Amino acid sequence: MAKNALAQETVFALRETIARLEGKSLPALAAAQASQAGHPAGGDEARIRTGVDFLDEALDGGLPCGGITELRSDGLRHAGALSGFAMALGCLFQRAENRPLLWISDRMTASDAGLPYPIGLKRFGLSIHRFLHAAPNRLEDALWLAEAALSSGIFAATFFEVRGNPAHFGLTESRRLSLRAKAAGRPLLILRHGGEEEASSALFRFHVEPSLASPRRLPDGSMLGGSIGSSVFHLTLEKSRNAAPLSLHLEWNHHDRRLIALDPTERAFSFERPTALSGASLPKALDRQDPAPPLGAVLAFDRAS
Amino acid sequence: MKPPAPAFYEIGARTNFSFLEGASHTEEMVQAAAELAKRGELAGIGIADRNSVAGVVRAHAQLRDLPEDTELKVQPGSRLVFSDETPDMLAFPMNRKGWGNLCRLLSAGNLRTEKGRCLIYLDDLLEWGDEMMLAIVPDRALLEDAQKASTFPVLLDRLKTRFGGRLYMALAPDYDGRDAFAFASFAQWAETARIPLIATNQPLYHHPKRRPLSDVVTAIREHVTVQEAGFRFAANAERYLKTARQLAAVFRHYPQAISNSVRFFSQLTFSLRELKHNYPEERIDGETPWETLQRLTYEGARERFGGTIPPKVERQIQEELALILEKKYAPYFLTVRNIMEFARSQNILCQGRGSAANSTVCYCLRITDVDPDRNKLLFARFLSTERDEPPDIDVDFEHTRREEVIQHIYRTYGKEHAGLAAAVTSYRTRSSGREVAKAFGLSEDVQSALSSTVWGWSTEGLSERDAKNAGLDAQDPVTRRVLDYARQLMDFPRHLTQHVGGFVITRDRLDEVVPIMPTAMPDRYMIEWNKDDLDTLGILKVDVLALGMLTCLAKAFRLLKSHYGDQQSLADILKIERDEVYDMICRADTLGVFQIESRAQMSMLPRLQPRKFYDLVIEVAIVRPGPIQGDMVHPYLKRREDERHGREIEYPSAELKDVLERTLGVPLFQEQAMQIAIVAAEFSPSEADKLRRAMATFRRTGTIHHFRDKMVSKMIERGYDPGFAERCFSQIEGFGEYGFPESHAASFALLVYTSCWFKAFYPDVFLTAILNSQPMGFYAPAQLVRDAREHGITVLPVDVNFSDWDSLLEDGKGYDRRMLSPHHADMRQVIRSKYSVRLGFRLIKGLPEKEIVEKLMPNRGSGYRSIRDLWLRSGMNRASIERLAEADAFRSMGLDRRQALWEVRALDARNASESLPLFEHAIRGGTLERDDLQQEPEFELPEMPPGEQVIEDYRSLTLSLKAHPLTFLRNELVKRRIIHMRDLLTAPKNRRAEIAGLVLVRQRPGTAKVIFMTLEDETGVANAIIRPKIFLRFRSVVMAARLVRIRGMLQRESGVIHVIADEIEDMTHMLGLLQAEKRRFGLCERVDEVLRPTADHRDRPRRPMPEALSTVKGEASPQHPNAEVLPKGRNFH
Amino acid sequence: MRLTALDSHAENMGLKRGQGLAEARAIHPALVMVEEDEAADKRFLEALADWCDRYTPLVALEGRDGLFLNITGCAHLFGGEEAMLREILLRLEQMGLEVKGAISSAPGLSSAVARFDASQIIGEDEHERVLAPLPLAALRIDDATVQGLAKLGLKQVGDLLEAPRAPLARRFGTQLLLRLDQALGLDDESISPRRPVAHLSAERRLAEPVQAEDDILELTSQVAQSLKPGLEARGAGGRVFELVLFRVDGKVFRLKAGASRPLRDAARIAKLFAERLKDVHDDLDAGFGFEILRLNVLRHEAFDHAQKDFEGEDERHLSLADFVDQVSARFGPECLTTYQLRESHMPERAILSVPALGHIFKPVPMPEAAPLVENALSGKERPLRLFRHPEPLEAYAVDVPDGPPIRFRWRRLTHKVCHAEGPERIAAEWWLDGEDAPTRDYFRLECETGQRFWVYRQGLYDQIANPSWYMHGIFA
Repeated sequence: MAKNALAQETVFALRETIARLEGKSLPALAAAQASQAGHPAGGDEARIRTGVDFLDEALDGGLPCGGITELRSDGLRHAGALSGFAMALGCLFQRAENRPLLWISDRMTASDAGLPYPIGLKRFGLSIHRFLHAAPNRLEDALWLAEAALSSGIFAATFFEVRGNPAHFGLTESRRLSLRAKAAGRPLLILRHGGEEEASSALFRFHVEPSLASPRRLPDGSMLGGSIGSSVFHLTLEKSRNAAPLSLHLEWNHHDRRLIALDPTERAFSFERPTALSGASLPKALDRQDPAPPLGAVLAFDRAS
Repeated sequence: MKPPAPAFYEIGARTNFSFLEGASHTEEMVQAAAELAKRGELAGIGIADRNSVAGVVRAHAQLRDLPEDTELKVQPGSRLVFSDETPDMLAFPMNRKGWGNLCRLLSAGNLRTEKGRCLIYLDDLLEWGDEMMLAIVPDRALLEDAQKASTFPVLLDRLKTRFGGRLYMALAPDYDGRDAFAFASFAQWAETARIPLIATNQPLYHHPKRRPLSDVVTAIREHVTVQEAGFRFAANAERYLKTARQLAAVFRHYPQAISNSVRFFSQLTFSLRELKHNYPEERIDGETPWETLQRLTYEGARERFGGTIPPKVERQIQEELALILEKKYAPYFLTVRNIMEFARSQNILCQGRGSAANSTVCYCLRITDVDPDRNKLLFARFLSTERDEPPDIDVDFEHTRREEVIQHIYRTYGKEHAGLAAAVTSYRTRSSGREVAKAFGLSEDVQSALSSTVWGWSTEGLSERDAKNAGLDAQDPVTRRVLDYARQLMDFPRHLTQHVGGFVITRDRLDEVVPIMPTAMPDRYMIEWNKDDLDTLGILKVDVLALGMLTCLAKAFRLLKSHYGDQQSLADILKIERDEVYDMICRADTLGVFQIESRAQMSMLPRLQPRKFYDLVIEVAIVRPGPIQGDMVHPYLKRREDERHGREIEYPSAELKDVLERTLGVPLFQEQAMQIAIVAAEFSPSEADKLRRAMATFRRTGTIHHFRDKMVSKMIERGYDPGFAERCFSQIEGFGEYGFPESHAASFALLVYTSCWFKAFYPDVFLTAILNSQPMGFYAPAQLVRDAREHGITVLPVDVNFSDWDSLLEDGKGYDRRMLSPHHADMRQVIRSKYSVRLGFRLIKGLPEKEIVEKLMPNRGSGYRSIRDLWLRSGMNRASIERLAEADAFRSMGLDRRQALWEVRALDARNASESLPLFEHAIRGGTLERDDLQQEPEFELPEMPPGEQVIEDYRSLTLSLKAHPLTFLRNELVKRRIIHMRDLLTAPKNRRAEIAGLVLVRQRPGTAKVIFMTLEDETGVANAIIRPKIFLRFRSVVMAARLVRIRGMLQRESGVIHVIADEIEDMTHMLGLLQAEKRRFGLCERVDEVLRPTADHRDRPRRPMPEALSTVKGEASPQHPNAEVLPKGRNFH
Repeated sequence: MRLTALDSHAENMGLKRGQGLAEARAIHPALVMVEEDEAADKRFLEALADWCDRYTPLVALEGRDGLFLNITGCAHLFGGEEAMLREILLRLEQMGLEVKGAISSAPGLSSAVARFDASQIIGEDEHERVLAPLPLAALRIDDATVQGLAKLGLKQVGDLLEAPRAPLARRFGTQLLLRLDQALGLDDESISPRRPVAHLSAERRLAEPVQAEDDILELTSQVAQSLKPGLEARGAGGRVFELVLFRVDGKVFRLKAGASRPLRDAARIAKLFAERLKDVHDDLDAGFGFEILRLNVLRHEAFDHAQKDFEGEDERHLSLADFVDQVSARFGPECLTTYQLRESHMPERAILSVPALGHIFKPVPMPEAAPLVENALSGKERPLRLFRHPEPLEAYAVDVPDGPPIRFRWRRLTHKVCHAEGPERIAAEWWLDGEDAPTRDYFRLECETGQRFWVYRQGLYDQIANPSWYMHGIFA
C-alpha cells in the first residue's frame, strides 16, 4: 500500500511537469488528482466510462468530457478502424448526453476514404438524426469550426479529422481547442490518419489498428465460422497518465453499444479460424447426422459476457 | 458436362391469386415449371397462395393440358399467413381428408371477417392441421430481435409435438447478404427442435423479367407510386422459379434441404381429381338416381308426345339414358329438374339451356321447351363418351324472382352443401391502365383520360393511341412503361366476387371441398373457385341465372291471361309458328324484343329473312364476335341467297357436310368449330378438349398457337383451302372470348320468338310487360313507348288518380289502326290489342315504391280531389308528392306541373294545428275543396313553354308523351337543311343526307371496327355508321354528345337504312333553347292544347317555336343544364 | 376533378363550369389545367380589400369574388360617385382584373347589379326597374330556392315583384323576401367590415411615392403629428398603432406596433415603427414605392400611466440553430450538412446530403415510412464510410457464379481475403435506370490485416460474361 502511494506520488510529479509543458493549468491538475483519489470534481473533468474496467482505470476514470482525446492510425488504409473506433467513442458520449454529433472532415481524407455513411453509422449505433457533417475547405476553417463547436457546447462530441501532421495544427492550436473543450465541458476527438506522435494538448492518445472481427454468434451462442461479426480494434494507449503503454483488443457491440475487451486467449482462438471463404465453414454440430442434444439455455446471440 | 441436377420440388410458389403479391398467372408458373421439368431441373411444384386455394385448379388444368410426357408433379396447397405472431406456414394436404381440413381452416379464417380477408390463428392450425404436410417459414426479423428469438424454440417445440414428422422448416434465400447466417441460425433452431429442413425460393413470379411487374403490383397494393414505394419493393429479382441446380448451389451446405423436398412431396398423394362427381344424392326410395331419371323421363315423354311416344323419340331417349348412366350424370339432371319444378310450382318462368339441355331427356323433363328433334339438335353431338366434358345446364329465371329459387336451394340442400361459385374479377384494359398509371404517379385526370378513351371491355390492352388520346407522349419512357405494364397486368385476377348465379351443390360438406367465404349478403356464402374451375374438376354446378326477358314474358303471359283470357306457355307458342311473326322479324320491326333488337342484329334481319325457328337460332348466333372475326357472316348470307334461288350448296368436303349442313357449309357455332378440328384436322377428342380449354385461357398461357399450327397445317395437308382453314381457326379464337354455342342459341331463339309473338299480336301487353321489367334490354322506355305508339297503341300518362306502381292495361281508346305509322302498315291486320297502356309510377325517378304502394294507392278510394286531399288522406311525405308534381301527374285534377308544385310547396307538415282539425273537418263535411283551407291571393304562375314541358317530362320520367324534344328545334333544323328520319325512306340513296337526333345507343359489336350510332328525332330512328377514321376525328362528339347532326352517305339496301357518317357535329347546346322562357305576364295565352298529351303528336300541325324570347339577363351562355336531362345514350359492346 | 373557373378563351371553346375535367379533355386534349387554390383566391381577394381601404375603411368581403365598400361620406373625396366608381374600376382593370361595380343605396342591389348587369350607378327611384330583369340568383339566395322557384317559372326578380308575398313566404321562407327587400333597399342591411375601424386615423397621399425607410419614418412622424390633436382631445395616448403602407402596385403592408405606455409624441411613435421596420426589413419590399401612408390608432388609453422600461434580455444562448446559422453564414450552407434517409435499396441513393441550414429541425422525411426504413435496413450491413464514386478493382480467383474473390487488387495493393459475407444482391431501380441495368452483388470482405471492405460485382455471371468489380465502402 505504501509502495503504491509512493509510486503514485512519483507519477503525479512527472505529470505535473508534462502538464506544464503542455500548458495545463494547475487547478485542473488538482482536480485530476482529486478524481484520481475517487472524488470526481467539477463538470469540466467529468468522465465517460468506456465500460472496460482496466481501460477506464488507465484513463483515470474514463474518457474526458471536457478535453481532447486523440486517435491515430498508421495511414489512410486504416481509415475504417480509426473512424470506427472514433464513432464507437462518439456513441458512448452520445449515450451519456443525448446531443448531436459533429464530424469535421478533411477534404483529402473524405475523397480517399469516403464520407461517413449515415446508414452504416446507424447500424453502428449512432443516432443519425443528430449527426452533422462539416466539410470546410481549409484547415484553418476546420479549426475555427472545431472551436466554435466546442464553445457552443451543443455537441455531445466533436470529431476532427486530419491527415498526418499538418503544420498549421500544432501545439498552439491544440491548446486553444483544449481550453475551449474544457471551458464548455465538451469532448473533442481528433482522428489523425497516418500521423506521427507529436506533442499536443490531448489528454489521451490511442493508436488504432484494425483487427479481425469476431465471428457472428448463432442462437446457441456458438460462433459461425467464416462470418464477419462485430468489429474489433487493436488499440494502444500511447499517451495517458500511466507510464506504460497499454495494448488491448476491443470489440464494438453495436447492439448494446458497448465496448468489450477481448480475452487474449480468445483472440488466439479467433486467429486460428479457418481462412476459408464465407459460409464454407459451419459449426460442426450442423454436419452431424444425429440431432444434437438440447443445448443449454439460449440467452441471446449477443455476447452474454 | 454438368452433373445431373438433384431432384427438387418447389413448395413455395405464389401466383397472382395471392392478389397483388404474385406477378405471374398460375398457368405461367406451371408452364415454366414444366419447362424446367423437361430439362430435369425441377421435379414438382406446390402452389401455395396466400390463405387461398383459388388458383390451384388452374394449375391442375394447366398440368392436364401439358404434353403427356411432362414429368412434373403439381400439388395444391396454401401459404398460411397468420394474424397472430405465428410465422407463415406452407400447408399441403396429404390426402382427401387433409384437403378437407385445409378447406375448413381457410373457411374458418374467411368467415371470421369481411370478404376478401382471412384471419387465421395458430389455434386454427392446431385444430385443422391433420393430414397435411407443413413447412414453417421463419421470419428473418428473428435474427435481429432477441426477444422474439427467445420464444421461437418454444413455438417450434409446440408445433413439433403437435405435428411430428409432418413439420418441416423452410429455408429460403433472401440475397440480403446474411443468407449464410440466417441459414445457420434457422438450421440450428430446427436441429434443436428436430425439425427437418426444406429448401424453397418462394417464387412470386415465373421469370426474373417479371420483377418490374411485381414491383408495380406491390405499388398498387400499397397505394403508393413506384417512385415512392422505396423499401416496399424487393431489392432484387430473385423471387422467380429457380432450377434445382441453382437452389442446390444456394443450399450447398444444406443438401438435406433439397433432398427433403422429395420426402415432403412423396407424402402428398392428394389430387384434385378426387373431388369429381361430388353430386348430391337425389335418391328416391328404392330407386337409384338413374332409375328415377328414367321413370321421370318416360312420364314426361308421355305428356309431351301425348300417350304414345314415337319410336324415333323412344330410341333417342334410350340412347341418351344409356350415356347418362355411363357417365353417372343422372343426379345432375335430377337436381336441375327439381330446381325447375320448384320454380314452376311457384309460377316462376324459367328455361334451361346449355349443351346437355338440348336433349330429348331434358325436353321430357321440361328442362327445356325446345324440342331437339324438331329443331335439328342432337344430344349426343354435345355429350360424347370420349370427350370428358361435364354436363352443362344453365337455367334462366325471371330476374325479379330468382331469389326465391336461391332460397329454395339453400333450404333443400343446406348451406353445408350449396354455395355460389366465384367470379374472378380481372384487370381489364381500363382498370389495368388506370391502376398502372396511378402507380407511375400520373395525375388523376390522366388516369381517367386514359381509361375513358378505351372503349368498353377492350381486351387488347392500352395502345399507344390511347396514350396519345389521353395527352401523353408515347415516346416518353414513363408512358412506355405504363403501356407495357398495363398490358402485362391485363387479365390478372383482382378479387373474387360471387358469380351471378352459378350454384355449387355437393354431396360432401361444401367447406371440405373448397374454402367458402362470406358474401355481402348475410348467410350466403361463396366459394373460391369460378365456373371454369368447377368445370375442370367436374363438380356439379347449376347456373341459376336471372333474365330480364323472362320477367317480361312472365308478365306478358299473365296479362294475356287476365285481359284476353288466353292461357299460353313458352312451349305452346312455339307449337304453331306464325308467319306474321316472321314477317315482322323480316322487316326488322323488333325494337324491344329479345336479342335481335340491337342495330347490328336488326340490320341483319332483312338480309337473313328468317322464316323458321332454326333461322332464329342462326340469327342469334351470327352477329357475334366469333363468326364476325372468322369472316363467316357474308359467306353465310351468300349461301342463304343461293339456297333461296335453289342453287346447290357446296361443302368444303364430304366429311364436313354432316357437320356444316345445317348452317349451309359455314361454321357458325362453337360446336362446329370443335367438330371441324376433329373431322377435318383429325384432332383426337382429348386434343379437341384441350383446344376448347386453350380457347378460354389463351391470353394467360399463349399456348393456342400450337393448336393453330397443328390445325391449319393438318387441314391444308388434307386438301382444304388454306383460307378456309385460317378462317376456321380465327373463329375459334373469337369463340374463346365470346363463345356462343348452338345449344344456347336454340334456347335463346325460343325467347326471341316468344317476345316477337307478343310484340306482333299484343303490342299493348308487350309494352306493359317490358315497362314493368325495366331496366332491361337495349332501349329506354322512351323508345319502347314510342314504338308502341307507332303501332297504334294509346299510351296514357302517369296520373295520381289512375296509375299503379306498374304500368297497366286500361280500357279506353286502345288500339287505333288509324294511328299506325305508315311503315308499320303491314301490321294493320295482325295486331289484336284492345287496351291502352297507362304508365306506372315506377317510371318516376326517385319515387319510393313504398310511398305509392302503401300510401297513395290504398287510400285513393274514388280519387283524390286536390293535392291537399292527397297529402292528408294518403299520408305521403311532401318530397314524394313533389316528385309526383314534377312528373306532371296531377292533370286529372286540372293542375299542370307548375300549379301542382305551387300547391305542394304550400303543404306544411310542421304546422300540425293547421292540418289535423281541418282534416277532420274535411272528412266530416265530406268535401275537400282546393284552397278551402286557407285563403290565398290569386297568383298566376308563368306558363311553362312546351319545350320545357317536354324537358321536364324527360327529367322526371325519361320520356315525354307530349312531344319529342326535336319538335321544338325543327325550324332551326329545317333552316340547316336537316331532314326528318322518316324521309330517309324516300330520300335519294347513295347521296349525302343530313340528319339530327338524340343519341340513343352507341354500339360497337364485338370486334367490329365501326361504331353504330342510333339517333332519334320526332319522326323516327335512324342508324349511322361511323368508320374508324371518322371516329378518330370526332371521338369526343361521338362519345359525349347527346344531340348530334350527322352528314353522310345514305345507304338503303333491302330495307336496311344507314347513314355512313363523314361529318358529325355536337348540337347538344341547342337543347338549352328548349327552356327559354317566354316572358308573358298578365295576358296569358293558354297553350294547353299543345301540351295536353296527344295520341299522335306527329300529325298535329306544328306550332312555331316561340321566337324572340327575351332571354334572361346573365344567362346568355348557350350551355344549359337541360342537356343533362336527356338520355346520355347507352353504350353497348 | 371539375372545372371551377374559366377565362373567356375557355368559355369560347365551349367549356362549362362544373364540367368534369376528363370530359373537357376529351373535347380539348390540349387543355391546360391549373388546380384551384381557394386559399390563394381568398388571400388575393383580401389583398384587394386591403387595397380598397384607400377609398373607405369600411370594406367587406362578399362571397368568393366580391367586395362591398361602404362609401358613405367618402365619394366627395374622389369627385363624386361616378368619378369614384370609374376610378376604382379603371384602376382594378389596370391590375389585370375583369371587374364590374355598382353604386346604390342598398348593398343587395349593388351586389345584384355588379354581378348580373353592367356597371352603373342606380338612383333611388330606379331600384325596381333595374332589378326586375335580373335572374333570381342575383338576390343572393341559395341554389335550392332558385331552382324551386325556377320550376314554378319564376326566374327573374320581376317575377317575384309581381307575386303575392304571403304565399311566397309560405312556400320559400322569409329569407327570400328579406333578400328581395334588401335588394330593393326596403330593408336596411349593414355590411360587416373585415377590419376593426380605427379610433383615430390619419393619412398622407403622396404625389411622389417613397421607398426609403427613412422617408417612411419621416412621413410617419408627420402623420403622427396630425393624430396628436385627436388624442389630446380624448385625453388619451395610443397603445397600439398600425401603419398601413399602400404600394403603388396595389399591395398593402400593415405594421402593428405596441407601446408599453400610452403615447402621443410623434417622434416616439415613429421610433416604435423604426424598430418594426428593422424587424421586417426583408419582408417589406417597397417596389416602386408607397403612395399612401396611413397611421391608425387601434387602441388608446388614458394618458397618465407610467412608462416602464422595456429592454429585452441581451444574453443570448447559442442554440444549434445559431450555430448552424453562424457556420453557414461564414462558409456557405454547403459546408455544414445533415442527412435525409431515402427509401432506396441503392446505397448511394439511400441518403441525401442536405445543408443543415433549413433542414436541421425537420424530422426525417416520410415519417410514415420510418418503421419501414428500420425494417428494411435492420440486419443489413452497411459500411461506415462510403466512397463518393465506386472505385474499380481487380478481383482474382472469384468463386463463380455467386461468390467473392479470394484476392483483389485495389489502389496498387493486393489484398488477401480471409473472410467474406454475401452476396447481397441489389438490382437496379428499373424505373430510373431502365429494365436492363445490371444488378450488383455486394460482399463484405475481411482481409488478413483486419481491414473490412464493401465491394460489389456489377452484373450477374449469367447476364454478363466478364463483370467488373468495384470498391464502394469500408467498414470499421
